[in-house]
Amino acid sequence: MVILISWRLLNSVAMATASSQKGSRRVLYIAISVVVVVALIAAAVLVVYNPFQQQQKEIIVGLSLPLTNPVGIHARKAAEMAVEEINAAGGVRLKDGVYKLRLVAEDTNEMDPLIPVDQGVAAFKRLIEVHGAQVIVGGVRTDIVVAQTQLLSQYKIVYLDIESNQGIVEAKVKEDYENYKYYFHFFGGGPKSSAGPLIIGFLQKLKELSAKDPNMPDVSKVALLAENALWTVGLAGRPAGNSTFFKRLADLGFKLVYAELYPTTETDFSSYLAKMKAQCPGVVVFLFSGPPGIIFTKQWQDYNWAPCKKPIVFGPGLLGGFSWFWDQTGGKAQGTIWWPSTVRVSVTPKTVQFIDKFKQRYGETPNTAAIDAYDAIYVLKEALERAGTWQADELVKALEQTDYVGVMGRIKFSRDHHGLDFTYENIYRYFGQWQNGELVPVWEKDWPEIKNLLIPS
Amino acid sequence: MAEPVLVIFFYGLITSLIFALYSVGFSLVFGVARVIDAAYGIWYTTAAYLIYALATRFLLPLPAVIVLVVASMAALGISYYSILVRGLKERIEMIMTTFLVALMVQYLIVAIFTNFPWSIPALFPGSTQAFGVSLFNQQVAAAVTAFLLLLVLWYIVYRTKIGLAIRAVAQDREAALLMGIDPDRVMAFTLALSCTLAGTAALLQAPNSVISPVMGWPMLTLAFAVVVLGGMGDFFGAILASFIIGYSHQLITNLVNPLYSMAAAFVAILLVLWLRPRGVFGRSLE
Amino acid sequence: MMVRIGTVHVIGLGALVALAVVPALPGMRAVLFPLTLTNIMATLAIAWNLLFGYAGLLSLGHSFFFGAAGYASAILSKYYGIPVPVAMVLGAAVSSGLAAIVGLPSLKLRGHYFVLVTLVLPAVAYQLTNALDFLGGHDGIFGVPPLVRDSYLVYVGSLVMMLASLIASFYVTRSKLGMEMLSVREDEEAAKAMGVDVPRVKLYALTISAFISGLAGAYWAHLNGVISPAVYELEKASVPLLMSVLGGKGTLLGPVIGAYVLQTLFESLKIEAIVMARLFIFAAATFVIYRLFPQGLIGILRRAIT
Repeated sequence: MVILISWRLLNSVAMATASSQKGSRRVLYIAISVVVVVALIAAAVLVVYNPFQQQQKEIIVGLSLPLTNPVGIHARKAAEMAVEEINAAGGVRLKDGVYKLRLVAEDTNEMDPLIPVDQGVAAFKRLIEVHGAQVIVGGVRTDIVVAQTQLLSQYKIVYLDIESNQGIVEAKVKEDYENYKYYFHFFGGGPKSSAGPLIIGFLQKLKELSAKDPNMPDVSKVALLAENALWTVGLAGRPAGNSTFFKRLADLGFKLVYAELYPTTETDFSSYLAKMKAQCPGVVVFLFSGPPGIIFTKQWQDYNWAPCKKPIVFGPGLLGGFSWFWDQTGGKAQGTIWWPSTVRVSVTPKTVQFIDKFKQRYGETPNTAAIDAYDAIYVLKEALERAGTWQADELVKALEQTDYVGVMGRIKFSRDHHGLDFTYENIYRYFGQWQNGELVPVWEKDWPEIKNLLIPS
Repeated sequence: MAEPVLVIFFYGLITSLIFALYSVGFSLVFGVARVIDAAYGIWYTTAAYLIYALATRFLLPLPAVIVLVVASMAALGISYYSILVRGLKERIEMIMTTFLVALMVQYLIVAIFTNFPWSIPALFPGSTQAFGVSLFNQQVAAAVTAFLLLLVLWYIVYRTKIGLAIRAVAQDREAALLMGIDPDRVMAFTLALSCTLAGTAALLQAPNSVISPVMGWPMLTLAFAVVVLGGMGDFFGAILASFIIGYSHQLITNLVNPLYSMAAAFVAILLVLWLRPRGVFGRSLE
Repeated sequence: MMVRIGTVHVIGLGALVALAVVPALPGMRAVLFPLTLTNIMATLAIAWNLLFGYAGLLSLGHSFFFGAAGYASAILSKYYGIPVPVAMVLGAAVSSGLAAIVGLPSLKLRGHYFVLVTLVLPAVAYQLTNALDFLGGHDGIFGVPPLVRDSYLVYVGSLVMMLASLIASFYVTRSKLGMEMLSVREDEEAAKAMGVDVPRVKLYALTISAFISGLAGAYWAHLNGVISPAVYELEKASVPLLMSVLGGKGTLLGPVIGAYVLQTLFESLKIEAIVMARLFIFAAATFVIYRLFPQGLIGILRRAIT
């Protein structure tokens, strides 16, 4: 930048002393471009210095999200909604006065199939160093979250993870409390919020149902198809199928007839489907988090399964329960069952109210990221008021005292537990099935049997 | 149930036919116009996004989409040649310029459509079975169309006057000039043809799948590989090489591990370049 | 290609001092990370330019050398406890070694086939690092130890690295090897006739370029604390190209100017409306520069001075 400023000075000198005619048009061209460059530099400097900053007391909340992806878009909108409501109701009362919340955002581009982890790290650093964020809210992909949380103790900043489905960092909170205490997890995958036991429960009920109903495929034969990414290691195992989860299933009388990992850049599942069909599975456990999920679903729906019965596709696939998914598959997601599912059920008095308000304002059913982000902001507000300050060490203590009933359910943290707990009521105990554009709840952790199931055909 | 052999046979056939259509376009351009079009991958991508926009955003019916895409790609090829390619003489300059064009177009696509993986619905939904192998109707239609188009292409190149002109220019540009053939027109035609082929391949392959701005680069690399394997400008060499690549991919996906199939393809390319630069058939590298 | 000594050099020195000192001032913390990245990319661009601008070998896959060193350095420092600076140099050496191995068979090929090789190499690297668990697999390697904890020192380190590469390329281009590289670039046959050992010259150019790229890649890995297969994507391969061509290929400072201009514009064009169009603007600008002003920004500025 400074080199350019020096060159500009040089240019003005050159222009002043240069003769007019020959290079005059070119000089003009150069002068214009130099002015443009300088203007841009000035803009950059202004962004950095931001002289119009903070007229009033503000707490800057940094959103670390994939801003051009449905996950990030919804999370941001929900966060904006929460911040508006809180500020309208008077803001956040700290020891030294009333503060407003202000959101800033950086795009981590996490959902790119090539997962550029460095962009996540850069976004994180920019939020803090350029925007001055005092708390970070965000996190979708496991690897991005793990990379970002590595830096928490360096910056001493609280990190509210809203959407990554893993327990790696929650484990680090236990092992390395001093460096990781700033991390709080608002989604599943942790030790008390694992989808595993829920899925096993669900599959068992499904098997019971298929034993009674001749129209259903034989659910005791399970096929596994998982994307080759960090978050599937626990559930799917390496090589595919070699995990505690599947061992448990085998003990319960399930037979794993097909297990395969696919690369996140996969574009055609014909061969996979052919191999699956050779085994006639009754259910396909599908772990995905990107575009291949759309392709597989479209192809599964159109595939000619005869003489087998078409297997039920079910998955812990983050994006499966998003309305975006229904749209992009052109409705071919009909009959697929997903965890998590933002089913329109009154888990708490706030649940349906929030879903309807979001839908009315933004035109779409909120996805899990929206719900998590909304609750996270409110939990943050409560904790800030409890602590009386936004200083990280105090804020952490206050967050650990959280016992909050939000949109998703009851959120209770403690010194030992910085994550969700599915023993409390929670929307993520539900499994939803796509039926004509709606996610219909088909099972919840405490239900004795499956309801409303549509058999795919 | 289907034997794996049949599965590999059919899926390999489908992939290879469509890919052959695509890579012949690259081979022709390389051999005839002596142009290495580093933007060939992006034409595939452009066509795919065009299909997406027409079919999904403008909701045009199938025949209209096909006509518009083919026509646009042909026009694109001609203007691409006239405005840009014609002036490029030296190989490296050519690659650099076309690479920059590819980047520009790719980022333009990103600017308009974002990186979001849009889904194109199948133009021919549903599926059928052949010998126990389930085939999507989209795939069947694509394979049949690709086969017919390859026949048409063969006919054009080997049985028509313009085809004769193309082959003449490919062999010896000066001699062709002396024979009264206008190499400029021939090259423009070839470029239009190649862009159209890229567009057609997209029409056949992209539906029932998902598009992304970078989807064209593996296509370009593999098309380049076809030229290396089969010799540039060699119609049958290109087809044969496409089949080799297509079937190898299917074999590894089905018999070994789908995680390695692309790696295997690329490693194979490197090995051929290093060990047998004259190509598998011994045709001279120019 | 000779630059006028005197005013320009004084200004250059002033700019250097400014670059080193200004970011240390209070309130400038925000520029540290982007500027560090800029220096890393400038180093990569210098390396790329050495190969293309001077030796005439076009590489569309320099991300291969960048990433390979990054991985090597990450693995060496994280799993084998090797101190970071040493690991970085070793990583660059690994890149160089790989360059020599792939260079021997590849440099014999015609120019355009060499380009194909450079296109394929990062693709292979991506697929392999993605599939192989011991290379971190799809999600890469985490917990890569940083060079130092202080962001300012990290920044200064990057500045030093960039300058070192600049000086190195200065000496290479002024040396006998440099002259030979130029003669190969101009006319390979004529060079051969004059007794230049063309294969050797090309190999040296490639390995030196790979080493410098490797340093940049290793620095990048330690800056982020993480490296994943995504490092092999087209972006890291096309950015040095854009920077060098924009700034002035075949010149010493071109890549650096290009790097700073691109990065500055990148940061300042963070306005919602054109964020998506930024890359398009760069590519288009580079295209225009390449066709109309092959000497790049440096060429334009030089003409303004003289």
